[in-house]
Amino acid sequence: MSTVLQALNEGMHEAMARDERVVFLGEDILDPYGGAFKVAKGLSTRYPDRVMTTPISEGAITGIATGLALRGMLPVVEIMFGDFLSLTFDQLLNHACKFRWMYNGQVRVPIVVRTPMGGRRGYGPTHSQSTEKHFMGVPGLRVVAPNALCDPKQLLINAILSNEEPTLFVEHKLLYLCRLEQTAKSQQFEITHSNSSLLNQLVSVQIAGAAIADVTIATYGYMAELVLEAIWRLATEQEVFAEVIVPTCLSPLDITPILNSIRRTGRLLTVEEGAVSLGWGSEVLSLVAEGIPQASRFAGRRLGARDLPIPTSRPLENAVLPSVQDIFDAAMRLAATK
Amino acid sequence: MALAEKRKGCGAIIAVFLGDGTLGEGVVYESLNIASLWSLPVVFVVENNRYAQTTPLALNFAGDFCLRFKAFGIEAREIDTTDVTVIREAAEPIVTAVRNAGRPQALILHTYRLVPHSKGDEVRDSAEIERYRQFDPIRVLRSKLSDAEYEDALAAALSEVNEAFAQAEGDPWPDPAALLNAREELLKL
Repeated sequence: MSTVLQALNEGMHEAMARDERVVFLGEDILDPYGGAFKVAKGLSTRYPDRVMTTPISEGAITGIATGLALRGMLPVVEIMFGDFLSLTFDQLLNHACKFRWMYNGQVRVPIVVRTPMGGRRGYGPTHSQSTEKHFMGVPGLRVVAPNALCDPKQLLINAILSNEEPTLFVEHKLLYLCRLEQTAKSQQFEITHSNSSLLNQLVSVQIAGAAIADVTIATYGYMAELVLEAIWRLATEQEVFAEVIVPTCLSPLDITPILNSIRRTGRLLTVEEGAVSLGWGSEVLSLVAEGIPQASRFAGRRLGARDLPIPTSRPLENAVLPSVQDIFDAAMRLAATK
Repeated sequence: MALAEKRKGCGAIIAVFLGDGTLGEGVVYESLNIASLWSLPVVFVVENNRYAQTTPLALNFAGDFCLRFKAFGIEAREIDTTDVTVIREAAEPIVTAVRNAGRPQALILHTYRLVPHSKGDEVRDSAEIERYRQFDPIRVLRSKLSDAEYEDALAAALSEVNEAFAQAEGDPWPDPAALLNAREELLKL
């Protein structure tokens, strides 16, 4: 059974095989090293002319990718750690995402910036963050995150080959080693896939054979793994049942499936690994508040990292990042509201 | 920091250590320009260890180390050595000049990294690493010291390292409550 890492590596290989306009830039991506997290493995051997290892110049390579895209290429950029995305921000915010609109639709900038994100490996404050919230809501930018329940390979291929807009592709570091569609999981859980669009592979999960859910949990990426652990405990220990909605396109976000679920449960918990303030959950709750009929009430909570830099020390990192227990507790508090 | 020291007029200087990999980042050149333009007391020390993580200098770097600094009006000197006594001799006049003139200067040290950048990312030819092992700074210094001097220095270094390990291993794990309390303090406006 393959892992998310293998799926993403295969996705890169297939995208480069299917379209010779795909070029790949990043730091330390040449074989035999094959990139810090090995998504690039084998690419430089197979496509030496289309894989370019770069100096440590994140801003420049994002700008170069933008130029390549304007001249008809399909560039993929790997930023070694999501923390370093800050160095690409000006190129994305003020250039790549604006050109289609500044030039009245005459150009497109189909670039994909891929990056490993997230903590729980003791990498400390500058190699552990989930910085995607700073990119969500940038007009013209799509923020996409695979998870172990979806088809990461196809998602990446779609982002590269079937998508004309600048896209940030967020890969959680712990997700890489997760196995896809575990058999055990499919016995515990009822997993429903609905491919609502090329970039939004919607997955919803319930406890198999459960009664009507008490709580809706919206989450993405690696946090879906922790949420599944938590909802199993909620069901078996407390007879509290949750319905989990896991989109892959985080921004812009299709709120409809989450709204549909809240109509059944009346309660929404959002779960993300990034610092909670002004994060993805804040936007989800806002969209729900606007989208829900005025007469119907709902209770909402957000769970994310505490608003602090991520410590290196294991017990402190654990205290800052949201855990299975935190999800369990937040869902219990929410389930207690009428 | 150098701007603060200059404004305080206390005569302190700042040493900035960069690597060959760091020279890829654009902010380096913004800083060199301003350090020169504002006559800041900075010694830029570039340690060129020939690899940026796994990427060799040849795939990372165009042009000339010293000329990058000279382009901004910053005097620069380069030496190819791992001998700390030679580095000290080269650094001393530079430090003195920065202190006296209150202007930045650069010292480029061509060196080598004998260990991996991180865990599991050693892709260099092991024969190459072995070739450079003769330039291990400790080995080079060893030949300039008497046995007694060497043994004393080694014992002092080992005892410092061992003490640090003993303290780190003996100390309790940090208390998450203290961190969360500090966070509460931050929220009080």
